Amino acid sequence: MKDEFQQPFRIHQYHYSVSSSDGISYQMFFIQSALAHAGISGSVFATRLNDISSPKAFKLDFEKMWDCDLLLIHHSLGNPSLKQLNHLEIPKALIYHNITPAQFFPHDPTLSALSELGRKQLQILKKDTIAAFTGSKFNFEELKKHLFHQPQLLPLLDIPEDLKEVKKKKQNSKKGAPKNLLFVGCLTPHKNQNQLIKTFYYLKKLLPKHSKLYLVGSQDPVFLSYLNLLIKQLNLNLEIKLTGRVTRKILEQHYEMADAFVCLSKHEGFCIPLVEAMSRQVPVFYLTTPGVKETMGNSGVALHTEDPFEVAQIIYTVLENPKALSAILRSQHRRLIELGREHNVDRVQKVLLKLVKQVRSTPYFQINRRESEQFITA
Amino acid sequence: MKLFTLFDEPDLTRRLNSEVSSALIRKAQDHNQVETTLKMKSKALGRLKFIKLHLLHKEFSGHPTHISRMLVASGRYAKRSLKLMKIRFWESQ
Repeated sequence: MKDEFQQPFRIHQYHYSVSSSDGISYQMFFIQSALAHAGISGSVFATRLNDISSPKAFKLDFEKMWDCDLLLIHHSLGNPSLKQLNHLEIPKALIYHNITPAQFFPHDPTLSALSELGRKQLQILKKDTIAAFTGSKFNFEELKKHLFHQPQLLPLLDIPEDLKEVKKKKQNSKKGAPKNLLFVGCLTPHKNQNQLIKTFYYLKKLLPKHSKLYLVGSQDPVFLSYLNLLIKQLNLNLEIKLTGRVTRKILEQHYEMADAFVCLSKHEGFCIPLVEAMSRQVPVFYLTTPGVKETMGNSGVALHTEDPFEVAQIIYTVLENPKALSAILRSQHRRLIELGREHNVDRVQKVLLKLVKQVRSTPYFQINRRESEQFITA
Repeated sequence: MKLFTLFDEPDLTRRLNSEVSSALIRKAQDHNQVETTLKMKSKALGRLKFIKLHLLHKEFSGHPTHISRMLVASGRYAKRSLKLMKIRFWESQ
């Protein structure tokens, strides 16, 4: 995609850390690929590269970042490199991902400080960016609370046409066949995996022998040691598997094997694994916290209790009822279609192309003069 | 009491909720089994492991015990506390 002077557009992206499996990196690569299909090039930069290397993503290098029309700054927890980044005289736009509140990191002063720093930095970003985007209405409201002028919703993922089709998953219909429960997300206190382990303690007595709970995702070391002790004390070593980070291929196998996806998270901005589970015909059980509720809409099984004893009985009763299972899958299919209207490649291309065209047609000093006022209109 | 919702299926939701409630009443004596098991098992643990489980359990059940300070003091988290100093440094600039 070029402007009238035939100069190709270029949009770079930056986040403090980039890896192959976290939600923010997922969106960065999704945006990069969506823009590439519209003929807009750009690279992904990060201060810390975890299990990823160039040319997929580059270490923060100011010399390499100058050649773009626009820099998209993804912001979540505090970013120690933000002040240096703000010296770069190129138009910047914010993409806000949720900041997990400090109260969820009582055991980790580093993460707790980063959480507080992240919120403080929103004020700096408000001044230094020309537009603000976010992936969910929950985050949108947070930006409004921080007095961002006109934030806009930007899709986090693409729900392709083929995922909206009802795919027949190989159902484990044999009576007495073991059930597999799944949760995907970093092992941290706010994702509440300790409650899932306690729930499985009760479920073990109800479900067929050899049923399992898989907790997939990277691990907070202190919380992990708590979960390991909990598993050992409840004698669930054989039934609960903490897989750590897994490759895309192995993740797909987990979704394929899963009979239920259980999410007892206390805090989420928008939960991509829920969408993945829905699109793979896995019934989803979830606590109705704001970000999760927004992702699920009116679908799946909304839990109104987090008591492990009660949740276990609910999961067992629903999984045993074929009529309930088909009602859940129907509701999830409908939800995927709704989400697909908001989350798709076309929308990313349209929103960012409009912005970059406006940037190209306005001299930088004029953009800069607007200071805290947001540059574009919704 | 409504324990869960299946959307667009009010009859099924009502029927299954009452099924769950009856089962919960039948098994009411099992309700606090997790906590009881943890307490019982902890007694059989070595002293250090017991302290660790007890503290971690309190920490993640909403009663912070500032275990992090102890861990930092023990040197296990020295690297992370260095990072924290760096964050404070940037913040103060």
